Amino acid sequence: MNNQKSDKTRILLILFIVLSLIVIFGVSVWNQNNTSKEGNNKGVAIHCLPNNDKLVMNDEGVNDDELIQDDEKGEGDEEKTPTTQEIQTNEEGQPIISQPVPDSSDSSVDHEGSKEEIKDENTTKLISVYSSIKGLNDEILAQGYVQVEEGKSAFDALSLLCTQNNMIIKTTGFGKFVYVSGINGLNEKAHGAKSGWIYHMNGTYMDSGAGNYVLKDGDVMEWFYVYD
Amino acid sequence: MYTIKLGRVQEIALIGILSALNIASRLYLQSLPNVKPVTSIIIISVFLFGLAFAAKLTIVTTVVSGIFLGLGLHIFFQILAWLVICLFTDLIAGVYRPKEKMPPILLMAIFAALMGYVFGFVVSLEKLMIGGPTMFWTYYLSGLSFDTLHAIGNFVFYLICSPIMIKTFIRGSKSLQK
Repeated sequence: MNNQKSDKTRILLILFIVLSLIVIFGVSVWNQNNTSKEGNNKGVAIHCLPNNDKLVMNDEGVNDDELIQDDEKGEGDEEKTPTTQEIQTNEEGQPIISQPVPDSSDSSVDHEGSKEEIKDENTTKLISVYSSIKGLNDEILAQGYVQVEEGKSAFDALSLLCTQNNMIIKTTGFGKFVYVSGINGLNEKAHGAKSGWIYHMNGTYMDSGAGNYVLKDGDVMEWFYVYD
Repeated sequence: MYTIKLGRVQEIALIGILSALNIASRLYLQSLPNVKPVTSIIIISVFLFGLAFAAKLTIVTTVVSGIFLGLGLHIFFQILAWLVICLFTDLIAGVYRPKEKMPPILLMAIFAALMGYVFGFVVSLEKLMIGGPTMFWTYYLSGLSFDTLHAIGNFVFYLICSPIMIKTFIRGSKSLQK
């Protein structure tokens, strides 16, 4: 009698464990398929390695809308806006030069020749984000427009800006849970126990992680080093 | 191996007492990460009172301590991990039950230490569900040091708890039978 009862509980327990393992693996496989369809780039999030694909796209990355705007404005537009020239220096392998916040429509690059190539290669829409990094005593470490694919996170934009300026980011975690612990050798807890990196998006403090914020076109992202 | 048969009321009372002990230890040993007598007590209760009792004890312990420490998906995974440990222990108990004696204490202490790693692995499966295999392996490997603490804690607490609990409960059950 007692033996039968214990056998029953044993079988029930084994069933429960097997079922929950099946559910766990099923959900993980389902999640995996979903994320691979979105095609997010995991390699960028772990380390700030120079990602060639991204950099190339950034150089060629011109919105179709912006191209049309450029065509309408004509060639004289280039002389008026210093922005255009400064980003063009980036094509020759030099870092983006710091600049004041100009109108977002002026941030485009003239690329008439490569217009068709872009359409063939990149079906994803590119968005441009103005981002800046301020270190100790509001010293500006880097500043400028970066162009990322639509759906990328704030951390992706930061890592792209740092790659362009040859700065190294120290992170822990990855994906949506990435945490920026240091930029360009300036680490958290180096200037007091509560010091570290935070970011503002469009002037407001964000309480979610940088990996979790999905960028929109025309966002203004500011990174600050706070200290006691 | 000596399995104690309990009446209904006795079972409820014992689950209450043992789970209270587990919950109190989880709350007051928070400063020592993972060094808790819970796993050892569950293993001993599988030997003394059988699988069903240990499963009930596991669920009560986890859910009630979860009310204090924070409820979430991890509650389910902790229950799952301890149920897996119960099953493993039941395999060993199945070997020693016909012989009517307790397994050697040092062997069981080493077994309890191994169960610390099993617990860490099963709890890490939560991250497999959320973030896929890369996140799972990172989480599991970064948690290995805590699993080692758990294993050491289990080893020590098994050596402390098992002589006390086994003696007390066997003596108590004998006095009840008279």
